Amino acid sequence: MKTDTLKSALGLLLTLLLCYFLQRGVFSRVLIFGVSPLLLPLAAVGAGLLWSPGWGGAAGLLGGLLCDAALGGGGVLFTAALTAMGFFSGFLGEFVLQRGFPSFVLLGTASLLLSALLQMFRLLFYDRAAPWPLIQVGLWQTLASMLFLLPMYFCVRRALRAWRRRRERTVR
Amino acid sequence: MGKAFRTAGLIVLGALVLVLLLTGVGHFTGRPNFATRAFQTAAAPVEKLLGRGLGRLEDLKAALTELEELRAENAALKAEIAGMEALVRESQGMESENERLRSLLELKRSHMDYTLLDASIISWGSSNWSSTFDLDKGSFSGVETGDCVITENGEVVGVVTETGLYSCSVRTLIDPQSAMGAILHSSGLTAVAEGDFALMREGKLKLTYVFENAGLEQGDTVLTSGAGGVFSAGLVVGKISGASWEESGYGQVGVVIPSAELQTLSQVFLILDYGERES
Repeated sequence: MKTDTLKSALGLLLTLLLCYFLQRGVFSRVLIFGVSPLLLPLAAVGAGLLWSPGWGGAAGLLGGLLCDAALGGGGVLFTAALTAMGFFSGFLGEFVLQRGFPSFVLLGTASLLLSALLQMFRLLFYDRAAPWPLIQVGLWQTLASMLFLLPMYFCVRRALRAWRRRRERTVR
Repeated sequence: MGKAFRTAGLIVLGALVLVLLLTGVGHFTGRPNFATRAFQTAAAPVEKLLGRGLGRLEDLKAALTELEELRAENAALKAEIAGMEALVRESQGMESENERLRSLLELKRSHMDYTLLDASIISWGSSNWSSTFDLDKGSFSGVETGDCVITENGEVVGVVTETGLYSCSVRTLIDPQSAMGAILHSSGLTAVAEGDFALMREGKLKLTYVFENAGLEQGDTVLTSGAGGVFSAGLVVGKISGASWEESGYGQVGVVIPSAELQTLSQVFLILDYGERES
């Protein structure tokens, strides 16, 4: 039982690290629709939805730390936000939503929109930036990131394979 | 049947005797005989054709040999060109390095009191909302938060916002949170050069608080004024590419193209200490 959990945790860690290197190394130079996509919120939400609130929160914490490191600037916005998102996704997966791709699309898109809103918050209210360019960038960032919904779903599912098998055995 | 064979045999025999006779006569008189001439005449077109064919074959053989030689020569020339290109690349790299070092020397000469530290960009931040990058030097090399980052030509790049032991984060001058005191080179007008989100996407920044009525001229150089304490006075910020009036009507807003080419930047210099002049 412990081995299954360890395997899944390790798989998830690798997925998060892969997302970090993609986001930091590749998407800081390669732009999609003129923006860099966000991958780590999807991984955190996926871990929460497909595993449990606790593991979602843990994945969100680590994913958030990595996301803040990837984006640069020394903020802690995503560390806090993704922990909450991972936990909340786990809660919804446990009690409200079915653990499947449609739910992942719903939660993933919501997490991306929320991330964009949080990112533009400071610029909008403290730096008094014009809202329309912010909204445009936010929407393009969400759209570019949504291209990774399907691959990310399969990555997280694959990472949590050992745990899913154990759960299926327990249900039977 | 037998009679026909016998007649044919006799004809062939007769012909042979005739040929032998003519050959013999030709031999003793010293002139080409009829049979030879007849054969030569009959064989001439064939020989001609054969000669042409052989000639073409020889041409082909010569061409093939030449082709082989050309191929070998081509390969040798290609290798030579590749070698020369490598040399050119090397020399170009050395030339640009030389140029950079010359500029740095010039910068050091003009600012003898500056303590400069060279650093390379490790990676750029992937955020769509800010403009940051990381350098390969940190507090171990004496880097501190607030240190100014410039190019070898003394062009402002940004400011250190965070330091690790072996790396540091730099916020570029086009980031929406960047701001520095500026002065216009031609008129001496003071202003504030600051980042703007919309302009950051185009790699530019804006010049605000220009209260004088003197117009902002396109191409005018913007320098740091030294106000604010982060940047030393006289560093190059960029050139004005456009201007408009503020909505309030009290002053003008200029658009500045940074002199430092942020997109192609790979090596920068940190000003660790401004020396006695600034302190």
